[in-house]
Amino acid sequence: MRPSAVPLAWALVLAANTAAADAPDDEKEPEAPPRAEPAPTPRREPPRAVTRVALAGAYRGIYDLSAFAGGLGFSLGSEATHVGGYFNARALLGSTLAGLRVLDIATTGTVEFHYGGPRFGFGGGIAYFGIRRATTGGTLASVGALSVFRVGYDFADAASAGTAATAPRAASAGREGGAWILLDLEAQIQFGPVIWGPTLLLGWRF
Amino acid sequence: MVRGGRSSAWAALTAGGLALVLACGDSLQQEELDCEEAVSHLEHCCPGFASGAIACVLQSEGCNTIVPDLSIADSQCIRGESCGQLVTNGVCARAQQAGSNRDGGAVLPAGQRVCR
Repeated sequence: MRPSAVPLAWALVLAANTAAADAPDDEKEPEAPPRAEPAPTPRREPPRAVTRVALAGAYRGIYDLSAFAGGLGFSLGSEATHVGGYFNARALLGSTLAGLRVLDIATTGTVEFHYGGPRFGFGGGIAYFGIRRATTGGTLASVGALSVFRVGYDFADAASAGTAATAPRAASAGREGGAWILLDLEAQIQFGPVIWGPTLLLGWRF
Repeated sequence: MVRGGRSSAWAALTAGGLALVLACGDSLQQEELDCEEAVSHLEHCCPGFASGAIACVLQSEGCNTIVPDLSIADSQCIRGESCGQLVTNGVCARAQQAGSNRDGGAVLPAGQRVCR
């Protein structure tokens, strides 16, 4: 650019600015309507490590025999906002109606979906099932595959979901642990029969 | 390619593990379990009942098949009876007799049911 052109350009810029400032409002570009503030997205909680312990009670059907058993359950897992994965173990000791002792031990992996208190899930694993003979005292035992469908309710999660709307900080209250209940519907494919039945777990989550 | 190979390896490993798992342990046969359950019931109901004299084993050895002393029908019948009925109907005595057949003891007449 030549030196003489600089003042000319400067004058043009000033004139343009002055004209824009003096122009009536309707000649200005229409202002864009105020944008609606985007709805705040719920804060995603990082996955939490969860430990659960429980007392368990169960019914088992094997052919035309019935057995009732009780025992302990244990779960170790990780939960995100609505889904979690668990490793589970449980041991049940009981008897058939006529008094044959039964032992049912299982380890499973489950995926669980939860929405506040209610939850459901499914999974599979390995199960040991043994029955003590009345005649010899020996044990008939089999190890097989197990499939499980579970429904449940987490009271601590339900409480935190209920108060989160009025007290956002309470949203994390469910992380502090509380009581829960699960009903497992199981089917074991053992060496011979299918052993089936529900297992009710009542416990505490940490 | 590598991922497909790994998937196949995992699938084979899983299937193999499942097959191995399913092949483990005793075969839980209804004949044996029903017989054991019936013997347990007899033990509770029949004074002096020697449960060790009954065999509830189902086993095939070549052409020979060893069957439990109590059939499924007998076992189910026994489980459906009260203790009083088992004693007064003579089921306790016949069940004990059935267990003695193998040992050269008293023999039930052919075709006679233990529980009827």
